[in-house]
Amino acid sequence: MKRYQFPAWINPLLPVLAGFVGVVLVYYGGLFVYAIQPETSDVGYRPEQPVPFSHALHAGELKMDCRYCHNTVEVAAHAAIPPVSTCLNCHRGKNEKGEAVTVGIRIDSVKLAPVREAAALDESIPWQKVHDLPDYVYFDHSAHVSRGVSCVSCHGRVDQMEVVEQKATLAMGFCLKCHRHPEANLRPVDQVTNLGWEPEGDAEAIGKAIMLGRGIHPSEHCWTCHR
Amino acid sequence: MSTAVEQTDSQADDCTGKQAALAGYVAEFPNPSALKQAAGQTREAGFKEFDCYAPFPVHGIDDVMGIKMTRLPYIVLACAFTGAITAVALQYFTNAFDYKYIISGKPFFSIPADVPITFELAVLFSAFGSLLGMLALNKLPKFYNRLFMIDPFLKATTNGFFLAIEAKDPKFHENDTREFLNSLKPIEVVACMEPNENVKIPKIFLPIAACILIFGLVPLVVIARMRVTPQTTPRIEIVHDMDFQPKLKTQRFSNMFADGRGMRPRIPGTLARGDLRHDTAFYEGLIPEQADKVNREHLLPNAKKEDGTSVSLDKMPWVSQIPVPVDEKLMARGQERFNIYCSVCHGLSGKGDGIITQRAMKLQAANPGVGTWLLPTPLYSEPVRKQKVGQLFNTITHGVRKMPGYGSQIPVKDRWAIVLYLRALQESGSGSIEDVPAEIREKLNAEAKE
Amino acid sequence: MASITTTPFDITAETPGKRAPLVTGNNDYQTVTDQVCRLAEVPARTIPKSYWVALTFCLILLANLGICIGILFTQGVGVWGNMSPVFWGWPIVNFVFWVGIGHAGTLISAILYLFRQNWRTGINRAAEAMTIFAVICAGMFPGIHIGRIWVFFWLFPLPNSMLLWPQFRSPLLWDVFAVGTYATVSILFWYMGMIPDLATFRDRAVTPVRQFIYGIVSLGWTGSARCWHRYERAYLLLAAMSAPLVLSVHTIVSFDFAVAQLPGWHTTIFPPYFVAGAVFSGFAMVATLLIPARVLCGLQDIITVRHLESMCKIMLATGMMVGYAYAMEFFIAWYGGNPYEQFTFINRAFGPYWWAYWTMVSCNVISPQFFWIKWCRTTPWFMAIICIFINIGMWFERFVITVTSLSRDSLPSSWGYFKPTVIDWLMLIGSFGLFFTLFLLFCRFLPVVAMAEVKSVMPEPVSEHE
Repeated sequence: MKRYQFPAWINPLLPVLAGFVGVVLVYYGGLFVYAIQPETSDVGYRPEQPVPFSHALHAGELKMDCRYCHNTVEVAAHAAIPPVSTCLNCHRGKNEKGEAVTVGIRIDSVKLAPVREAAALDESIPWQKVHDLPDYVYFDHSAHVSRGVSCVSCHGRVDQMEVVEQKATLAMGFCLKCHRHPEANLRPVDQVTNLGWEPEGDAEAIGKAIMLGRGIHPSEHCWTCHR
Repeated sequence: MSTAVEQTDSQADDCTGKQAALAGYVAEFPNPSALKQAAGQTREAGFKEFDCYAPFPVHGIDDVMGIKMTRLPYIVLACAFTGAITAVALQYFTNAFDYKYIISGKPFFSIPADVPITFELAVLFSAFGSLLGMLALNKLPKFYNRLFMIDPFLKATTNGFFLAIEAKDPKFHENDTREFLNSLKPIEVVACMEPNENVKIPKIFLPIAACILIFGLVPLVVIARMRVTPQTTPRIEIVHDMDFQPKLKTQRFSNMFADGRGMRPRIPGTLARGDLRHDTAFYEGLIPEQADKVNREHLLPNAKKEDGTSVSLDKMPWVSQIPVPVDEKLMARGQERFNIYCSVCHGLSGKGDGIITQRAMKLQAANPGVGTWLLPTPLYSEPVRKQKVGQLFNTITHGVRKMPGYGSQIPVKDRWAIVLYLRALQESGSGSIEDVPAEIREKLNAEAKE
Repeated sequence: MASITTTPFDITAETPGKRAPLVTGNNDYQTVTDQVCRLAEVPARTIPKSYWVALTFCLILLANLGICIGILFTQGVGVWGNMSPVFWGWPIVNFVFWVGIGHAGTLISAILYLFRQNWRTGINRAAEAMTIFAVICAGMFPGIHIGRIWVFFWLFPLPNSMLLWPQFRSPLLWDVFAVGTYATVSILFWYMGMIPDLATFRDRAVTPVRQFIYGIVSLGWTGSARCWHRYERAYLLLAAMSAPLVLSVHTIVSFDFAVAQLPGWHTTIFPPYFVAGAVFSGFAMVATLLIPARVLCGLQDIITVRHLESMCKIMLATGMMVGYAYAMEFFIAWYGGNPYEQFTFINRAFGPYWWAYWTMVSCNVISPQFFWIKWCRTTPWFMAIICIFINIGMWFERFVITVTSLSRDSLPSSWGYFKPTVIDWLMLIGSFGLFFTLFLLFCRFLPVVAMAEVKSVMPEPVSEHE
């Protein structure tokens, strides 16, 4: 039997092949890193909500404060999703006798039907949670909001969103970055819900001053967020 | 294959059928000593491009052939230093610079603690350095080798000892060199042919490489698209870890209860601890001594007595003093809360021109029936001014006429703060230009004229 | 071609001034090559039945390991017996046991090479292979004991979205680097040593498939003197680096214990004691494997009784070191005057785990004493029995260190008794399945003896040409 001989072109091919394999490995390695980043997998989550509520209209055009609906944000870990009654402050329809108990607008709107239905049946509206942290993370809204971290730092310009979507990665590194250097995300407490607020002058210096003034030293220990 | 067949230089053409060029001569010797001796004579004869082949390293042949000491040790030394420096830099950067974390009171950076990993990485790097360095210096891997075409040469890895002189040596001569090799008393001398001179990589690899590159772009495009488009489904979690724990969380679904809510409403007829609310002045705005007589149903908007007549809220035993300490802080708080909850309808000045009211009225004007909105009473109007603070508090809590109550939305103390701010608004709203200090008055007048 | 004739000669006699040949019988380069290549080249049906029986048995054990790992992943680490207060139970015992086994190979290749001990040439390839397979078994246990295998890469310093780095001040991370480096360097060393032998396989191969595969893995090796020159230099460098590496690995493994403050662990004798124990158990395992393998592969002329005897001498020496360490631990506990330390050691020998302690002492200290007798050192079947006892004893040594110290530590209210589960047992047995399966495959597909090195220590054949 004739022996198997490698073709002569294999020798010049080898370095080219090695270079090619190197490029391919680097490329796919980079692609893998690009793919598994939370910017790819988490950012941009925009679930469909049971009611097409527009933050752009309510918080943007009508300039309602975030806290009108999310009223527990300053005192509790959890920023409350408003109960149906909050919607009814402005959108209560007529009662069974056909009379309006309170003022109301868009009282016959089809889009608002789930709200009226939930009110009639004493049920909750199944809102979809957009910014969902893993259950082993214990985030406290009040601790952040009452120290001058704005809503916009984690939630983005909600007042410009027709449908709310996740803008920040909310990965652990996102939290740690700010806990290590909070000055970029600090502002006067009364401007926390003013999503369009711009610092006058050097943002870094303003943040540093606030940090010093309020004695803000964010903890980086594991048990700060994980119990 | 290892059976040695007496062969001559007749393998001139290989499978390609092309006339092959003479690349050199290969002579086989019986044992390592003979090979060593022959190598010495070849070197003395002035040949440079020659090599010996043996199944194991022949002791002392390096000196005889004049092989210079390899520079491999320096490569390995460089690798070892690279490894050690990498290790120290890695440990410094990670634990003493980028992620300073106090653990058992140990220093962030200390040489003794760094020794193990520094040593390990130095060894790891230099191990790669010596293997890859050896291969690189030996120009390996080299899968095609014309020596492999010579059948007797296959013994070189078992029990054959060979000496090869290459044709590119300046002293090489087709006949003289053969004579010379024969004079070294070999077992045989074989001509080595080069059937594939100046080979080029086949062109077919170019389109293959291009195809691979183009297909390689597909995942990049897919991922880049995923990155910029919003998704209606949450991210795919291959393993949930403990992201979703079977515990009750605020405002989350739970299948433990029939209504699907994890949070429970208060059971009728019960009170939570600390929720007795017996201080009626603070919680309801009613004078405690007279509060017992009040039917609480009558405090709700549009309430009717048993006989069908309207309840006169003004005659309720309202407190006339705010039952919390009044200071500037409470006033500021009241302003803030008013702006959050009340100004949307009542307007920032309390005039009744909130943005929502304006929009609602506009919508109603355009399409009658779209709403039942009414203009709110200006908060500084006479009837409202006359109300005691207790009644204002009650209005915020339960609402009045067509206004919904905000008791569930605004905590008790904040409601009193709003009441305080309301009094301030009423003062400013019902005042006249005479109430303004003289110097500011002129300024205001000047501004009004412009 | 020449052949070497040797007169009958007691190769194990220590006659001054007379060197015994390392390869016995009438062997030349050709016959040595034939013998080593035989098992790798013969068709499958001519392989002894015992090979297939052994391979089937080992594959069953391996499948059992796979099932156990599957159960572990789906159920979590609760399937193990690790329970308060013994959280470092069975898996760490197995890990340290296997890492210890993995010390003989590189020791033989590197340290004996630097000492110019030529007898190593007969056994170094198999010992290196055994090292790598043992390190694979060892590395498996920390890999699976993290519970969440899908995040095993958290062991390595990789940038991540959590902005965290591993803790470089912990001996557990040193362990990752030490075992990882050791496995990598052992594989490189092993592979580099095999290149010339794989070239022999390539040149002897008769089917194109074998010619192709062995052609690829032998990288086009020709045996050129210029290549051999650099090759030997690289081999020497690797040996010089591997020698301290071998010592460092079990030193660092011992730091896992010694850096902790637990009485019974927190001792400075641990590094040398662990290294001696590792060499001891490693040689016992090499002998356990080679005694049947030399018969199976027909290599009695190359792996001779003299090789086995030399290994016995090393086992005797290291066994004595281990015995000394056992005694010294007790001495220091008494001499140090620390009542907690004293309690730990009395508890070790006479507490609830007395049976483990005395198994360890009798297997590790008493059984190697037989090797003082020459008959015991030169009778393979007897050696094999002693070696198996040593393997058992060394496993118990790790069990004693890990479990007895943890089960009764400073808080008597939390004292407990470690009970392994069925899964624990099956995993230990399964790891042997993995180990022996890999070794059997190695015997079938790769050169079990470093042919080039053996040939270089054989006497030169006389020329018949003239």
